[in-house]
Amino acid sequence: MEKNYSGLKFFSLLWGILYMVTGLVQVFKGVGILPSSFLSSSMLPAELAGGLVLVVIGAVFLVATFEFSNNSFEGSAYTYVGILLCLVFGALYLLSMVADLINAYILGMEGYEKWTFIDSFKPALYLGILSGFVYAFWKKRFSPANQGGF
Amino acid sequence: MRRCHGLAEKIKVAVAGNPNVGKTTIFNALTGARQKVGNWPGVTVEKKVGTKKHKGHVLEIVDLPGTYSLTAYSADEVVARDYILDENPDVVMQVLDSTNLERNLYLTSQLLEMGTNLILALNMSDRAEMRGDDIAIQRLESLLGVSAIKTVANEGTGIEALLDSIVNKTENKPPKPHEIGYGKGVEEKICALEEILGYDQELSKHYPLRWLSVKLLEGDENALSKLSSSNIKGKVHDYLSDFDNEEYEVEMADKRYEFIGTLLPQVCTTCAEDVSPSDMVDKVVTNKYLGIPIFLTLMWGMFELTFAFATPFMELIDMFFGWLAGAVTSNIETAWLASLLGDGIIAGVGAVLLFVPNIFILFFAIALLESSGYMARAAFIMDKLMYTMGLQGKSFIPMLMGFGCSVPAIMATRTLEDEKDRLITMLVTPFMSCGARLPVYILLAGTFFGRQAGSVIFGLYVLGILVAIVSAKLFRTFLARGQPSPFIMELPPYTKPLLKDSLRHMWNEGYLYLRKVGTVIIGGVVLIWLLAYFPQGAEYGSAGSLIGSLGKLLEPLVAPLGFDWKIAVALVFGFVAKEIVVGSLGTLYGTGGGEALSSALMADPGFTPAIALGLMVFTLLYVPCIGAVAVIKKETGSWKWMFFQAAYSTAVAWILALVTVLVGKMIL
Repeated sequence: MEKNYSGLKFFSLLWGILYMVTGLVQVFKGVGILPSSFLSSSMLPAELAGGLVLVVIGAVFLVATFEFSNNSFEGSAYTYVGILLCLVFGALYLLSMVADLINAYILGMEGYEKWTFIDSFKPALYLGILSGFVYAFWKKRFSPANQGGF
Repeated sequence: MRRCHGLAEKIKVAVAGNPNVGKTTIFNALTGARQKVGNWPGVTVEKKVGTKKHKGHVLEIVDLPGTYSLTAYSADEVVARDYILDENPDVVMQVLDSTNLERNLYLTSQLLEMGTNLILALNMSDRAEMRGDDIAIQRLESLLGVSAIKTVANEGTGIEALLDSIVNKTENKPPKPHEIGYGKGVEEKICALEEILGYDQELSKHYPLRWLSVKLLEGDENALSKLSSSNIKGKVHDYLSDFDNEEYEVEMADKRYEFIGTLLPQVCTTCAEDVSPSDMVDKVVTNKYLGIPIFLTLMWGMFELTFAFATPFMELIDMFFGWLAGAVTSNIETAWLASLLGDGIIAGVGAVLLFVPNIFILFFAIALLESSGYMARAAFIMDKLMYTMGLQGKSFIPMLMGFGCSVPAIMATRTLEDEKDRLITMLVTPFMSCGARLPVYILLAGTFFGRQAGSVIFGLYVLGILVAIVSAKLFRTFLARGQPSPFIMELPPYTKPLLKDSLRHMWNEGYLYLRKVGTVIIGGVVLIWLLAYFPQGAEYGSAGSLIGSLGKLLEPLVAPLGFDWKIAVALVFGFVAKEIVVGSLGTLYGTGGGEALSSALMADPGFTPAIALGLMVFTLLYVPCIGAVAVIKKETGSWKWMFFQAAYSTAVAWILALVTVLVGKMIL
C-alpha cells in the first residue's frame, strides 16, 4: 500500500537541519570556535555536551530524510525515535529549569542571584516543546496500523 | 531415503526453527509417544528423536535445537547446522511463527542457501489470522520453491498435511540451492573461493561449495575447521587473509534481510504493515552508526538529570545538617563529645547523606531504562565493540550493574558460561563507576566545574567503561587468551516502564546506600574523628594529629600527582567505602560536607581544578572498596586474582590521574 510520507519527510529535513545547526553552534561556542556572543548567548549558550546531544538528534532526523528519499518505510521509524529523543531531552531540560527555579527563588542559593527564566530556556527545551506539538498532531501516523513496513 | 523395516522407506526429517515457535509441539504432534531423548554426541544439547509411519514410509524425525540462524556461534547453532550438513536429512522442516515472519525468514534464507529440501510449517497461523494477516501460501511456495503449510500445532491443525508433504517431497527431485545475490564484489570472491574449494573432491562431496564459500568469507570458525585435513587449507587461508571477515559478515546479513524485505511484502502485505513501535525504536537504536551515539546521549541525559535536579534537595539536606551540627555543638558542654557528635558523626554522615537525592535519581533513571527494555539493547549495541576488545555483549550486563554497586555486579558474572570471559569481566567490572563514587564526583565537579558538572561526571563514567574495555583487551591478550564466546540474547519487547516498579527499584538500591551510611560509614567517620582528635593538644584534623601523621607518611606516594596528605588519607579510608572520601575531606578541612566544604576546597591553593579532576579519576579507578575486593576473592577462589585486581587498578589509577593532572594544568 503506497503511503504519502511527504509531510514527515519535510518535517524530518527541517528538524534535522534545525537540531544539527543549533547543536553545532552550541558545540562551536563551547570549544571557542565561535565567540560566546554569537547569536543569543542566553537562548543559544555555549554547551559542548548539550550541543552534541542536539547533533545526535539532528542526525537521526537527517537519516529519516535519507530513508524517505530512498522510498524506504524506515524513515518514519527514524522520525518517530527522533521525536521521542526530542521529548526526552525537552523533559530533562524542563526538570533542570524547575530545579534552577527552586534554587533561585525558594532556596536563594549562592550563584543563582542573577538567574532568570531565559538562562534555563535552552534549545533542547524550546525545540522539545515544539516537537511535543508535532507529536500530538502526528501521533496516529506512528501507530502500528499506519506503518508501511520494513 | 533409506530402506529399512523390509519394504518401508525410512525418511530422515530434521525439525528446525527459532526458539518459541512451537517446534516441540509440532514434533510431539508428528511423533506422538514414539520419541527418545538423549544428548548430541560431545555436547549437552538435548536430542529428541521420534518415529512415525505414514503412507508406507517410516519417518525418523529429529528435533533440532532452537536457533535464530545457522551462523554457528553457539553450541545449539553448531549442533543444528552440523546435523543438517553431516547427516544430510531427506527433509528439513522449519517451523515458523506466522505472527513474526520477518525474523523467522532469516533462518529460512540460510536453510535455502544450504540447499536443504525444505518444508515450511507456518505455525500459530490462527493468531496471525486473528490479527488480520493474510499470508499468501502459494505465492510463498512459488517464490521460494518450497512447500509451505499453515499449522496450529496445539490443535493438531495441519499436521496430516505436513506428513503428506514430507512424503511428497522425498518422492520429487531434490531442490537446487537457493542463491541470495550478495552483489558483484562479494559474488566474485564467492566464485573464487568455490573454485579453490573445488580442488578438494572430498569436500565437494560433503558440502555445498557456494554455502561453504559464503561461510568462509564470513569468517565462520566452524566452517574453517572443516578444512583442517584438506590439502587446499593453505590456499584458502592465503586467500582469506586479504579480507575483513566481519565486514563481509555484516554485508551478507544485510543482503539476507534485504531479500526478506523484498519477499515479505509480496507474500503478506498486511504482515508488512504491522510494524510495532517497538520494532521502529529497535530499528533506530540498534543502528550500526547511530546506536552508540544514542546510547551515550541517553547516558549523558541520565547524569545531567542526576546532577541538575538533585541540587535543591542537596541544598535542603545540607542546611538541615548544618543546623543540626550547630545545635548539638552549642548545647553540649563536654568538648570532646560535642566534637565527636558535631565534627565527627553529624558532619561525616551528613556529608554522605547529602548525596542521597543523587543516588535515588540515578537509580530511578537506570530503573526506567532497564524496565523499558532499553538496557538489553545497550548490551546488544555494545556487543561488537566488546567482542573486538575481548569481551562479549553479555559481559556488559554485569558491567552496567556495576554502575550501582560492584559487589552484586561481580556476582552477576556467574551468568557467563565461559570461565575466561567470567574472570576478565570480574577483573574489569570495578572500573565501572559505582554509586558510592558519585558523592566524590558531585562534590568535586560541582565545586570546580559549576554548570559543566553533569558533563564532567558523564565523562568519568565513560572513562570507566573505556578503561574496562581496554583492560579486557589486555587481559585477553596476555592473561586469558582465546576468543570470547558469542553473545546470544533475545531482546525483550519494549514496555512502558511502570512507575511503581521503578520507584521500588530506586528505593531498594537507595536503601542499600542508606544502610551503609548507618553501619560502615558511621564506623569510618568515628575512626577518622578519633585519628583527627588525638593526640590531645593537637589541632583537630591538623598535620599534628594522628591522621595528619598518617597522611604525611603516605603523602610521598601521591605527591607526584599533586595530591597532599589530606587527599592521601581520604583515599586510604576510601578503601573501606568510597563515600568516606567525602567524609574524610570534610573532617580534614574541618567543615563537614556541603557548601562549607566546597568553599574550603576552593580556597585551598593546592586544590586546583586539575587536581580535582585527577582526584576524581583516581577515585574512579583505584582499588575498589573492601566489599568488592572480598567478593573477587570469593568468586575467583584465588588470592592471586584479588591482589592482581587491587594492584592493577591502583596502578592504572595512578598513571591516568597523573596524565589528567598534567593535561589539566595545561588547559584548565
